[in-house]
Amino acid sequence: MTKIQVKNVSKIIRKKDILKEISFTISSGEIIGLIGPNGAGKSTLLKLITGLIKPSLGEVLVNDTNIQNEFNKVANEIGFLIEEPSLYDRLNAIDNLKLCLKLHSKIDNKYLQYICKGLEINNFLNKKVKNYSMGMKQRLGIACSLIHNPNIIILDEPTNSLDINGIRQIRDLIRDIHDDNKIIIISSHILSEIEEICDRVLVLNNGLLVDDFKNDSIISKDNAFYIIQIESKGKEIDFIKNKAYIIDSDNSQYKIKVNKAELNMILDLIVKNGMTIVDIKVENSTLERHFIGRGDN
Amino acid sequence: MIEYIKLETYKIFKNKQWIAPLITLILFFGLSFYLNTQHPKENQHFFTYYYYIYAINNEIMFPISICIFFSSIYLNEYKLSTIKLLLGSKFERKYIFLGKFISGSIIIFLIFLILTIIYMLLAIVFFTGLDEAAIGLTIINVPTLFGRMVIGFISNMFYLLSIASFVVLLIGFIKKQSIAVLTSLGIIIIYFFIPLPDMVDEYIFLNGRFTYDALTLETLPLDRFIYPIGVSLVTILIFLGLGLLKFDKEEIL
Repeated sequence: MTKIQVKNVSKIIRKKDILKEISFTISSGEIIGLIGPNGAGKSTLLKLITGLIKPSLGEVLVNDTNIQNEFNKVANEIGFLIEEPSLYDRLNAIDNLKLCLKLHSKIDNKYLQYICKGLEINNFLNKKVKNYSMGMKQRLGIACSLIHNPNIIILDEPTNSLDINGIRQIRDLIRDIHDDNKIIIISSHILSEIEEICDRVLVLNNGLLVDDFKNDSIISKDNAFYIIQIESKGKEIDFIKNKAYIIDSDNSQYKIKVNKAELNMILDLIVKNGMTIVDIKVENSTLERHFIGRGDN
Repeated sequence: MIEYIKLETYKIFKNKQWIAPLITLILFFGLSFYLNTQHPKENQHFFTYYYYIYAINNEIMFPISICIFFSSIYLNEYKLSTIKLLLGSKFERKYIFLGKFISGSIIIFLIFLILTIIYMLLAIVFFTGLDEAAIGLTIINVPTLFGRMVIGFISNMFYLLSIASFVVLLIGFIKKQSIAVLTSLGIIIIYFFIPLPDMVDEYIFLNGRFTYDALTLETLPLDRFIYPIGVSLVTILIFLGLGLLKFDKEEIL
C-alpha cells in the first residue's frame, strides 16, 4: 500500500512564499494531474515530494516515512523526472540506464526491456546522449525515472519536446504501468493530457491548493457542451433565446451553447422552426474551462 | 559507502573525467623532466629528477590540475542536473559527498603513481645504474632513496588532497567551476606573498608544498613529513566536514 501525505506544507524561497499550507493525501492506484499557471508552485511541490528540497513548514510523508529525515528509506519507491531530463551526456543510453539502476538497486532486466520497448529507445541505445535530440533525451529521461519500477512515479511536463507519436507512447506507457499499488503524479500545461489519463486533479495557483477534484466529476460526457451555429433570417431565433445561451451573433448567424441534456430538444426546435444548422461542435476540454475559471478567481 | 565509491569511480571513468588531469599531469611531469635535463650534466642525478617533479610543479601546476579535476567531479552533476538522480537515490547524502572525494582521490593517486613510476623509469634509462654516485647524495643509499621517495610521494598526496578538499568546500558555495578554481588558486598565490609568523605557518595546509625540500637533507627528519601530513589530514577532515554540512542542506531549486 503506497501513500503520500502532504501535511500543511509551506515553502519559502528567498523570502517569497512559494507554497502556502498545502495539504492532501494520495493513495495507491491514483493517477494525479497537477495543474496550475506558471509560477504556481507545481515544480516546487514535486521537488518536496522527491526530497530535492525541504519544507519550510509542515511535513511530507511517503508510506508514513518523513522524507525530510529519512528519504533514503523510501528512495527506491520513487522515480521522477522534474524539469529537464537528468542524463550524463558523454555516456550512451545503456550506460545512463545502468547507472540509474545502480542508484536504486532494483534491477529487473525484463522490466528494463519493457520500458525501452515502450518508449522506443531501443534504436538509439548505443548513441551518446550529447548527440540526442530534445525528444530523445526526454524519452530516455522518462526511462531513467521508471527503470527501477518505482511505486511512486512523478513526471513534470513529461511530454515536453515530444512529437504526437511520443506523446501517445508516454500516455500508453503510463496507462500500462499503472496498477493498484502505484501512484502516478503528472504535472502538465496540456490539460487534454491530464483529462485523458488522470483520475484526480490538483489545481495550484499562487502557492495555494485551490482545487482538488475527481476528474470524472468534471470531465464527464454529461458535462459536455455543444456549440451550434445556426442561420435564422426572421424572428425564429426568439424560440430559442429562452432555452439556450447565445454566445455570438452576426447578422443572421447565431452561435448558441447548449448542454448535452438539452441538445435534442434544441435541435428539434431549430428544425421545427425552419432554421438552418450551419455547424455543431463539441466543446472539448471542460477541464480547461474549469481551470481557467479557477485561475481567474 | 564502498558501493557508492565503486559507482562514482565507474562514472568518472565512463565520463572520461580522468583524461584532463592525466594530460595536464603528463605535461607537468614532462616539463620537470625537460628542465632537469637543461642543467649541466654534473648536476643531474637520479634523485634530482624526482626532486624536480615537486620543485617545479607543487606551487601552481599540480594545484591547478587538482582544482579542475575535483571541481568538475562535483559541478558536472549540477551542470547536467544529474545531481537530482543522485539525491533521489538510495544513497545518503554523506556517502554521495564523501564518495565523490574518495573516488577522485583514488584516481588522482593512481595517475600520480603511474606517472611517477614511468618518470623514474625514464630517469633510470637516462642514468645507467642506481649506485650512490648516480643518486647524487652519497649519504643516501639505494634502499633509503626509495624510502624517501615513498614518504615524499605520500606527504605530497596529502598536501594535494588538502587543496582538493578546499575546492570541494568552496564549490558548496560557488557553483561556477571557473570562479571556484580561480578563487582557490588566488588563495594559494596570496599565501606565497603574505609572510606569516612560523607559529601560524606551521598550521596552514598550504605549507605542505615545501615538504619535498626535506628529501635532500642528509638525515631525514621524519617530523618534517609527519607534521605536514597531520596538518593536511586535519585540514581535509575539517574542510570535508564543513562541505558535508553544506551539502546536507543543499536544495535543488
